[in-house]
Amino acid sequence: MILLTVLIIVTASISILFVGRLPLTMNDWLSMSPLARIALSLRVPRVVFSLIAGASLAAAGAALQAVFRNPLASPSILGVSQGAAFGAAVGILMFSGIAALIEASAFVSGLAAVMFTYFLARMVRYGGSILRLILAGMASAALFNAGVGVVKSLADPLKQLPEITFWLLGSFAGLTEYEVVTAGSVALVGAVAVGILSWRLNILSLGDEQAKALGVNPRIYRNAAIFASITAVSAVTAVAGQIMWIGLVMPHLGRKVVGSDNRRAVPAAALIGALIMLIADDIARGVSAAEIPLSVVTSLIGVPIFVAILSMRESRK
Amino acid sequence: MNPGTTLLNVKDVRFSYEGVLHVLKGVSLSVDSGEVVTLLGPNGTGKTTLLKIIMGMIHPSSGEVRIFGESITHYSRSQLAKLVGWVPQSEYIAFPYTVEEYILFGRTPHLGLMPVITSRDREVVDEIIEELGISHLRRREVTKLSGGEAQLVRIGRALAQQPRLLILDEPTSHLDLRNSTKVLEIIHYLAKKKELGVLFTTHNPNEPVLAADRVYMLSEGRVVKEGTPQEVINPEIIKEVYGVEVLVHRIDSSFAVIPKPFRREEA
Repeated sequence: MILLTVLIIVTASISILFVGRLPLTMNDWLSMSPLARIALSLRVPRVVFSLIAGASLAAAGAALQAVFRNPLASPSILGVSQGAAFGAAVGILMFSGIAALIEASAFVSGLAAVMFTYFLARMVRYGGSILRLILAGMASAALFNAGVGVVKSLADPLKQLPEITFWLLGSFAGLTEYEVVTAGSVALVGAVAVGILSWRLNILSLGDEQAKALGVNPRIYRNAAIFASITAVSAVTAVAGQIMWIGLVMPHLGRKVVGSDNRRAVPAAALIGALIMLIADDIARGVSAAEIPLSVVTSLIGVPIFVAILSMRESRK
Repeated sequence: MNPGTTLLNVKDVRFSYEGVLHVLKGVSLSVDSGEVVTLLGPNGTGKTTLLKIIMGMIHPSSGEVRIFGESITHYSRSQLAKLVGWVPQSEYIAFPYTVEEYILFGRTPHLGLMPVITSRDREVVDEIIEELGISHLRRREVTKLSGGEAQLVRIGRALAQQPRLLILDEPTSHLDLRNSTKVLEIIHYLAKKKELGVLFTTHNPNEPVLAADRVYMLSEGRVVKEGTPQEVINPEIIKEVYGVEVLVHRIDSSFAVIPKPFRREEA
């Protein structure tokens, strides 16, 4: 099954090099025609980043769902998406046009939002440690959302506002090789760390007392898994904007296919996430003359899958 | 290991919330290997708190818990998990792990960070599944088990740790008559055949009569009586601790506690 997915991913990745607004033939690639060279610099980074982003968002989602013992958890649960959005919006306002600074601002602000969530959680005196984090995450997400609203109202409605809006909806258009390498490798490190922690994720999903009884320190491993996840999400979000639904839905698909043991579910979710992301980006750039925002496509794909999974949940024996 | 080795020693453990609400007021107890010990008492007398202190999940205000003669503070969490298995009263499981996977989680203290599951680990799980008579549940999802099945599976996971001491928090409280009898039978079997030390809590005085070698009667954070079920359980102490009149019926070499029938009003 996993082999099949890998095979599909490889085939899809290669075939995507041939299709697009400028169709390329085998000959173009073999002779490295000027057209092929352009495609190489535009399409290859995009394909590579699609795969990395899909895989790491899915792995991060799986980790957060296990850690929060909640199959409906997603990267937005700790405010990381909203934090990154705020950082990017501020970045667009202040350093208009300097991509690296906007990205750095998004990345730092995403991590800062999670730290703020932790800070709030320490003040909450209601519920257990997990519920406290979730409640604090809601508060922090709302706050950063409000911040985005403020920035939007301050932004130049002709230049900056469209840029912010487009960023909020996500896109892989115009990714440079440099961005793919830097953000991609940070995201990959996060995803691989989640993979390393996958057995611990099983144990954490049983709750703190069970984890302790099984000899696992829940706090250390929970924080490690959260840190790995938000690093991956922040890195992707910083260069590509918000990409919805992948982190929430792909872990469900992974578990449907290989079962709930995270040693298999995390890699499965990552592979499926990579594949769906590749297809989503292809749709985003291919179906119309103008690029469709990526989150629109991932939502259109993610929502039906999500509803389908929820509706078949109880029917399986 | 010889039966009779002292596995667990609790010495004068006290616990209070924020220094005000005194839950445990100096409790001492011991459990030997091959022995079933019951912590008996009404709801809210600190039984679960004591178990959590023994598990190192919360720290006592004063007093000490020793396992194999060593204070539990000397053990790392995973060392402790190789010696003590814990069966919670109930638990929320978010993901539909199979019974087999779930029991395998019990191997965690014997495994590394990125575990390679060996044939030895599989053997341990297979033996436990066989022993508990739950082979038919092997591939079922733990989220879809009945109360009785889930309790056996939780015991299975604790046994996969291969502990010397098994601690169960109200193992029968949500179970029907057949399932609770089965669980008590298994508890007894594990102590006698596997030489585990077993400590379980209950509020039902008939359970230690069925399964325990010794009973600690707990009332308002204190042990009020200790001994064999015959020595501890009698109408006077039940009246004192539970505030209810009971009759003790002798049945062969055993006995049963039943509430004194009250006058039923005619409608």
